[in-house]
Amino acid sequence: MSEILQYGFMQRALVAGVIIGTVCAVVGVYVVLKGISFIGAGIAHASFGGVALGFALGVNPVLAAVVFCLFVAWAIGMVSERGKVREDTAVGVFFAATMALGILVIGLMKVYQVDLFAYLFGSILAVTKVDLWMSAGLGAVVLATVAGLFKELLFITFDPEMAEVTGVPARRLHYVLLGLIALTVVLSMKVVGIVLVSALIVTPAAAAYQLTEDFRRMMALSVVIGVSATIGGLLLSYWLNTGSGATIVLLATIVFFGSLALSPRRRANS
Amino acid sequence: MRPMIDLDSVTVSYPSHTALEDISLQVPGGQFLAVVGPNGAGKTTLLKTVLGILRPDSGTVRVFGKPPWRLAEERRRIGYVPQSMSIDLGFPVKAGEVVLMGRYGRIGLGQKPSAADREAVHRAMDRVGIDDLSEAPIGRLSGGQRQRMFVARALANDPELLLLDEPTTGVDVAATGSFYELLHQLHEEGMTILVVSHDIGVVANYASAVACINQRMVLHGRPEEAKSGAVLSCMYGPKAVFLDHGPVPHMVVGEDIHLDERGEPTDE
Repeated sequence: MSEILQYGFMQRALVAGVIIGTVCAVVGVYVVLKGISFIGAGIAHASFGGVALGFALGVNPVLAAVVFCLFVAWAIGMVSERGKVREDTAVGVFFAATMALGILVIGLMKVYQVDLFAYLFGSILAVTKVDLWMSAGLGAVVLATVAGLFKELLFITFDPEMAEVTGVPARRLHYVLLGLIALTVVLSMKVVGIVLVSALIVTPAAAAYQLTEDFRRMMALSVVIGVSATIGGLLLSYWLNTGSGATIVLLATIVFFGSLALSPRRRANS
Repeated sequence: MRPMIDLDSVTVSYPSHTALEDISLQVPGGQFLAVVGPNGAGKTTLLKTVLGILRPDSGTVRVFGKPPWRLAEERRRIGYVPQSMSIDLGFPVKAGEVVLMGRYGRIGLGQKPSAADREAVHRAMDRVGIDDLSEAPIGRLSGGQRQRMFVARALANDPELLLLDEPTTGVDVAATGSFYELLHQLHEEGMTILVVSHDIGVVANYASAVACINQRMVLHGRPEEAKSGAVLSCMYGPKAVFLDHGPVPHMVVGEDIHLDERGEPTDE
């Protein structure tokens, strides 16, 4: 155990894992309770377009993905708000289009990018010092926003119409939430991977939902599960020499099924 | 005196259909108005128009003398109890927290609730008789308790006008009676109430005025008039009979209804 902590890449991956596990678990609570996990998956896939554009333009891919994902998240919100297109349809269109854009851009570059594989599926070897600082910075923004708007985000998740009626700016807060999902996706993609990040957002929160009927406790449990799965998954992936993202997500899924079996909710409902 | 709610030839439509057509309606302060009509008659649309969530295609809407989407501080004078079917009952939140949400708009973005806010929550829950349930998860409440919780959330802002959308859906008969008794008491204390329901029988016994709508205004008058045959047939078809006796007045719609000497329908 102590031996692997001597590697710089492992230290960085573990610190990044704590940040990612925490932020995904916190944002995931809103995603699960609001029933918008498909939006999370859509924004995650959109980040591929952002990363590819970053490579093509010679910009830091994480920075490019931040801009691109925020744009896509808010575009999904705006298109579906107009009421002409259903939200899941809007996600479905953007999801494929942004992924296709990424593939097109990479094709045009005519250079094989090894790094891209890491972005898609996650890699513990890929976390640089700069990545770590970016994850920490983005994570701090997300957590500070959640702390500052805690009661409002709870209200718009529980009952957005009532929030709007009583003078809480529910529409604008919905865009804030979409922005938080976008930032969470971007700060997680290096370790967990674009393809798998939406699972790390949804699964710990979904497991926590089964175990409690208290909102704050659900968030705390989600963080415990998210961080445990991320750290456990990173260590396992090192020992087993498997992909970090896949190992983390499968570990979280095992916890999810465990909590489903233990859930007092199911006993209460049946 | 200016009516609290004033609709003048209001038409509201969705992309696919017209929900309300040429509706004119005044609600003076202190009235308990029941708006009844069959499912799909546009009752919820009417409430959303009064709340300013929907805007009319034509006609004018005034609430406290202003278009409702322009209301700022006055918004707090409106308490709204939405249809509870739109709420996720598995949501991990306690009854006391839900009632406190009613005051979030007043508390302000990023601000913490004060002792005065908690006191208002306590008073509102006490007023509707569920003060002991403040720590209960909402999934554990009965239908009647849940409705009282939503009324308490609306009351937490000390409103002058209370709007309720089908408040007794999923509530059993006994709890429905005592729920309307609560609304009746609030009305006696000076609250202006607008309740929307498809259950004309129960509502008509407590309201001070009734409006029947079915896309258009069918009748706007005193509760007794709402039970007339003309209104019933317009709303529910020509085969409707209203039975106003027993613990709960009810209505029967059928091909061949035969009544026995006590006025009960028989199987013949």
